[in-house]
Amino acid sequence: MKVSKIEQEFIEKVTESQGIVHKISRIYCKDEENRKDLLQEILIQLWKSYPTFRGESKFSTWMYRVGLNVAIQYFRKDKRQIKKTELSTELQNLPELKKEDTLENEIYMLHRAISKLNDIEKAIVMLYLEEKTNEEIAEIIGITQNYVRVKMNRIKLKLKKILNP
Amino acid sequence: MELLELKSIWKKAIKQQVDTPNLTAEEVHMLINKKSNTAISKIKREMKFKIWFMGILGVLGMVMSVILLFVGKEEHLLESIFNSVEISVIYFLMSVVIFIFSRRIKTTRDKIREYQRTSLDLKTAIEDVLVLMKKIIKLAVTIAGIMTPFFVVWITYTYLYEERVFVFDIRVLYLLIILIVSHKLFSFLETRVQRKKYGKYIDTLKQCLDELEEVEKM
Repeated sequence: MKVSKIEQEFIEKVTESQGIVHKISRIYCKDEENRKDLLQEILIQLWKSYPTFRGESKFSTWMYRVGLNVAIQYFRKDKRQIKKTELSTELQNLPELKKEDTLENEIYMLHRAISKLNDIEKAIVMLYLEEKTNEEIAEIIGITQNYVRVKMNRIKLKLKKILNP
Repeated sequence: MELLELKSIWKKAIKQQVDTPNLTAEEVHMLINKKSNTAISKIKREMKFKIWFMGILGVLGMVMSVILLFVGKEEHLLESIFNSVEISVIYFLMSVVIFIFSRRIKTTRDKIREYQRTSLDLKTAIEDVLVLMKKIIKLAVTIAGIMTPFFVVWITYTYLYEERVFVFDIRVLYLLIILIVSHKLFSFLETRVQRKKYGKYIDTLKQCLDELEEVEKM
């Protein structure tokens, strides 16, 4: 594998923080095939824009910013195109779970609730669940901290309705 | 399930699903060198093809123009209508128009490349990509609205002036009408084509932007 110094440095950093890319792909994609495609697109875009990363923000913040941009602008002309309100195929195929407090059930409920949010809400809630500060969320999304709070309150209400109908 | 529980469930879910990274450095290296399939990347590739195609066409036109002007070839396409000098001027003008459009496509492509190298926040990125899409569509409509009528008028001209005598008569009016109608028609058709190609994509982006701006308006 012949790689330049900058490419080597990038690969090391991204391999170390690849969890972020996986999380974004999981939140935005319906099935495994789309997830792999999105993961690849995010990695390509991260590499393309890496020369502009000057360390002014955390590497993880930068990764979220680029990753979410790709996920939201990710566009397929075929039937595999991401639809914001559709449940993932995997979730749809899951058997109805009983209301037991098993971890699988809770994870199922969580993903089911998130899949009902729109693309922007998904981005904000993911950053919230990742325990990003309002300042970081504002920096990634491009809105003020005050608006992050307003938006988060709305999303919480929406999630509450979904989780406790 | 309460909202406060979400964070802890999220952590557990992530631990279960993500904390075992499955991409090696070699795999990351392989993936970043693959071809991107996003809408913007596809447009960029199409533009690269168009720049090359139009460039070759423009150069061929210029070469033909020079040959006809200086060598004065007697036998040429449309010899029954134009003499060598006239056809040389037509080839030259056609090449200039092609070069101008090729240059404009290159400028737009450079802007796309520049955009792809940035890592803007979500809202700015959506705004920028919408501006870019508007430019791309406008350029495609302009090219279709000028290039196609040019050929339509040329073909009509060869049909109307078969006897090689150009006079200002009713035929000029026909040409003018054909020029205007074909310009309007092809501009309209190209707008429809572009709308069909990128309409859904643009609408999705606009929805996202509205969602972000709606909060700001509060």
